[in-house]
Amino acid sequence: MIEFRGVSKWYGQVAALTDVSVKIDGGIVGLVGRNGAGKSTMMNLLAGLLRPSRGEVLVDGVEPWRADTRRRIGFCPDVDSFYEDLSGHAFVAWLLRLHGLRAREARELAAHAMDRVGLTDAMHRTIRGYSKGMRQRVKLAQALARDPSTLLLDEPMTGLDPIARHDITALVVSLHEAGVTVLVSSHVLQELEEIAVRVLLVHQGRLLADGSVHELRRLLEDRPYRLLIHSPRPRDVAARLTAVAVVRGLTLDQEAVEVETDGGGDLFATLTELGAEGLIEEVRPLDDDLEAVFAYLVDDGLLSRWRRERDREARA
Amino acid sequence: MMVAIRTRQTLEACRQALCLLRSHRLLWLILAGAALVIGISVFVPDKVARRLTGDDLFGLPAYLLVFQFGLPTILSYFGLWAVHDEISDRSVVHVFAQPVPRPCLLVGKWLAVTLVGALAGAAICAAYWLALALPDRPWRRGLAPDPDVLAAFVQGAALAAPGYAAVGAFCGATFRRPLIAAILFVVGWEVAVSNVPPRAGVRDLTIADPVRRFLVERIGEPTGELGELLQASMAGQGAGELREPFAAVAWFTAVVLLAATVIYSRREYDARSRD
Repeated sequence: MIEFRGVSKWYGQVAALTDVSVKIDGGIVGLVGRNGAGKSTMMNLLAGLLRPSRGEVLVDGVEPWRADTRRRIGFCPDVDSFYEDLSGHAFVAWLLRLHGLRAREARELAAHAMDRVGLTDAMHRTIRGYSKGMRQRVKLAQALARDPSTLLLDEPMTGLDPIARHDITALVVSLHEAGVTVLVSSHVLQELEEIAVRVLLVHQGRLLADGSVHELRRLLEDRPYRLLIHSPRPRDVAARLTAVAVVRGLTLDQEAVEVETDGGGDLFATLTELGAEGLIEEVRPLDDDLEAVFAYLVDDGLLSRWRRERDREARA
Repeated sequence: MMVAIRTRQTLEACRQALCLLRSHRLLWLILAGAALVIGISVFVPDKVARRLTGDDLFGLPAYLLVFQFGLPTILSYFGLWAVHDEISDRSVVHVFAQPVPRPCLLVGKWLAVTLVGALAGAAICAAYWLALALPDRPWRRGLAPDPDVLAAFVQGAALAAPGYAAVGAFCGATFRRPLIAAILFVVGWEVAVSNVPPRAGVRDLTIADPVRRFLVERIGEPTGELGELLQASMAGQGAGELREPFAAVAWFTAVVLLAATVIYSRREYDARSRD
């Protein structure tokens, strides 16, 4: 079980986390936010690498800053720093021996962990020669090696190819089924959708939302979005689009038309027609990333509205 | 049970630091450089050799190169490197996340650097002594250095190593630019304090001064050029009030290492790269 009780963390004058309170009883929980939102600070607090400036961080009821508590925690950090001259297997065994394990036991556990992340064939090669994806897997292997009860994965999918992502996702799900509490962070919401049932949304050091992926997704369904349409005749394109009901607004320049829309079949049908007539060179979504999602959720006050509704429902 | 685990963790940290030191190019460069200097010394011109005694021939270069320069700079460097390098490249995140108390890590690293420094210092002194003691050239007859001087130097290296390694570990754990701090200690503080009269009472806050006094005591009032060099700064009131050399180094090492351990234990992981 993971618990933040009124946790704030400052780096000098900079507030990285402000009064975060959340309780995670189990399952796979996603931690999502922009870069610099405070995700890694939360992870580092849970891994015992940082101490809260205010409040309490507890893992299984104990502060992770204390060394012995960390026996129950597996941590896959986001940094890509290793002892490059060691092999992947030696690196994992090396860290296991710091637990106080004997050499043979550490080697066996390390080999098993490397097998779980699919690195058996490469485990005796030096880390220096590993690809980005292999390095991610080594970090994951060392986090898994001692069968932790809580697993913290900070941006674990970074640099992984689709097959490796699938493998890691399956591994995380199997760990969850075995009773491990998994907290996984990402700045890509779609990555978490596949595995996390619950999502914590962090923004500027505050916990903005705590709910199911579906609840968050429902908010986004109504989100207006923008398309940039490059055309040899942008005026003609704009003229045709003004007749489409779902188009909220148009901005025209000499080479392109920017369309703000609620989406829908009419628009796409019209775009298909325009494309067939040779009036469209390229269609590019302008805000299909997390930044835009956050801007929509945060700046439009949707989250506060959503929270108010939730509170009302809870009181009822 | 807990003591056994902590001991094992400390020894493991020591073993790992030794592994990392083993692959450090500078260590091998130093040993190769020392071998080169020793090799050249075998061919020291007779004219130079005739002016000196065997103890001077051994003691002057060994003291100046090993005790004045080599041990302080190299050990401080390796001490701070063992602690600071993984902090600056952030690989320490993996180690800090393990269930190992920080004091075990720091003491293990300090132990590794101490061992390497003491062994390297003693080995270099011994190799140089042997090179001079080889009776293959006419001028060496009657000039072979005293084995007791070698024993004093080997013990002196073992005495100096823990202190300088602790200074390095302290700088590595404390400062953002630890090399500058270590250099300031070695070429600033130690040199300045050795010129302060003994009665000022600050000489025990160095390693060089107790080690020099240890060599004087152990050799038994050295004469000649070596005696002059070792005893040059011993004159003045209050010399007798200083701690015994071993006690002085042990006290200094314990305080510095304790401070380093406390700082290292309280240190939070800094995710910002320092490269």
